[in-house]
Amino acid sequence: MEALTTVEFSLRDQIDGVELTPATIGLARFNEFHRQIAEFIAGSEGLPLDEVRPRVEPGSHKLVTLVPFLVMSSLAGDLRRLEREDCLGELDPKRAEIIERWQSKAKKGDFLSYGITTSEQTIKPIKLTRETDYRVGEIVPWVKVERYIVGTVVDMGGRSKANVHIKLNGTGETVVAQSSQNYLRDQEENRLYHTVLARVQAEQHWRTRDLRSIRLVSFEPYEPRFDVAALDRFAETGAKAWADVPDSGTWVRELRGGRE
Amino acid sequence: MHPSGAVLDTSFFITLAGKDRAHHAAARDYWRWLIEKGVPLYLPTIVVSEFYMKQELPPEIARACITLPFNWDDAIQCSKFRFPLSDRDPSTPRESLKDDLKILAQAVVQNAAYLITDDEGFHRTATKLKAEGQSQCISIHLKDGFSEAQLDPTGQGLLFGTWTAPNADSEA
Repeated sequence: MEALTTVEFSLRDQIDGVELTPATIGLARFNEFHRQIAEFIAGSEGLPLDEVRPRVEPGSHKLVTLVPFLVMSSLAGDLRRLEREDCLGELDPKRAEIIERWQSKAKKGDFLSYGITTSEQTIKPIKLTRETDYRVGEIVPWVKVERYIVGTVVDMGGRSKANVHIKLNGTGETVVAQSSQNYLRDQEENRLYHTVLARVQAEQHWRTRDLRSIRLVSFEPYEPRFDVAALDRFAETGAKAWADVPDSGTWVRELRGGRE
Repeated sequence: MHPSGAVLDTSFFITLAGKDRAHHAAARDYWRWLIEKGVPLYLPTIVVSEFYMKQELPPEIARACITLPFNWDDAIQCSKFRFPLSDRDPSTPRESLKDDLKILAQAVVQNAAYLITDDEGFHRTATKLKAEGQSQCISIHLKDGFSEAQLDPTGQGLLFGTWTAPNADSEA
């Protein structure tokens, strides 16, 4: 049988002086906490949760999960990193987001705290209270990147903040890129429901490659059309430009490093 | 998701830009087929920097392509290739391998189906990585001529339908 690790997620609080327990927790809070735990375990990779076995226990409200080896191998590293409070930049972004949310709530509640303990001896218990200060720290895990994306504009504009919704040709995923009202207003072509090549800047997570803060830099000319006359003109110019290059492959080999 | 799109090498564009070159007809046929089938054409900025040493890409050509700047995830992918220098083809200088692998890393990140090149050394490197399962990208060498059969990444029939290369007369 596959090795299972016990991971306990606890939520401690009081409501009107009465300890929160599985018997006193409201359904909305019950659902929210359990959903957050599922997101925390799955992480941004979306690890499968079918084999994770949960049970509810008092203490004050606790969800005890039995986690299979494959999922635990992803989770364990982040749980160890949580021994340091300045670790959020190094965590899986989804897990960091959940920890930030719990930390923020714990700061506001007099009796509210969250805890994570495991049956794994090398992982120390983790507690989030109004005194703890989980933060990004010096390692900011996002780097700036620039991309060209092709898709159909399915929505654009906005009353206070302008953005463009582009449904990508390849995956069908819709990317929302921030823009400016001025830039969108000045477009001479109607972009809506047309295929565009958009140059965007974004921040990319150094480990997971997730993108965030996507910003439209510009719509670029994009017209994939077979144009015989243009190709002929290109070849005419090219014949002169590359006249001293007898073999294109050899020229590229030499340019990229020369012969040994 | 199926791989999609073709990364075009510098040597492809040089051959496309020369009517008297031995493989020009193949380059032209691929250019036409890919555009007419709506296959995305990827243009790495490394290729732009090399091609511009002797010729500009005119707007009609450039705007058929999607520019590929060399980004963070391309660099990470490049570092992941297991390619000991001792394994390289003797005709491929070790310095040139760096740019080859950068372009191939971009092809992997884009999940591109094809690399089209007129460069034997680059073709061998790309084919080796594909054979080892390190890349999904099929390398097409222009010397082999235009062939629809090469445009099927699964080898089980055409991914983009059927197409017949026109003869020179019908192009005009």
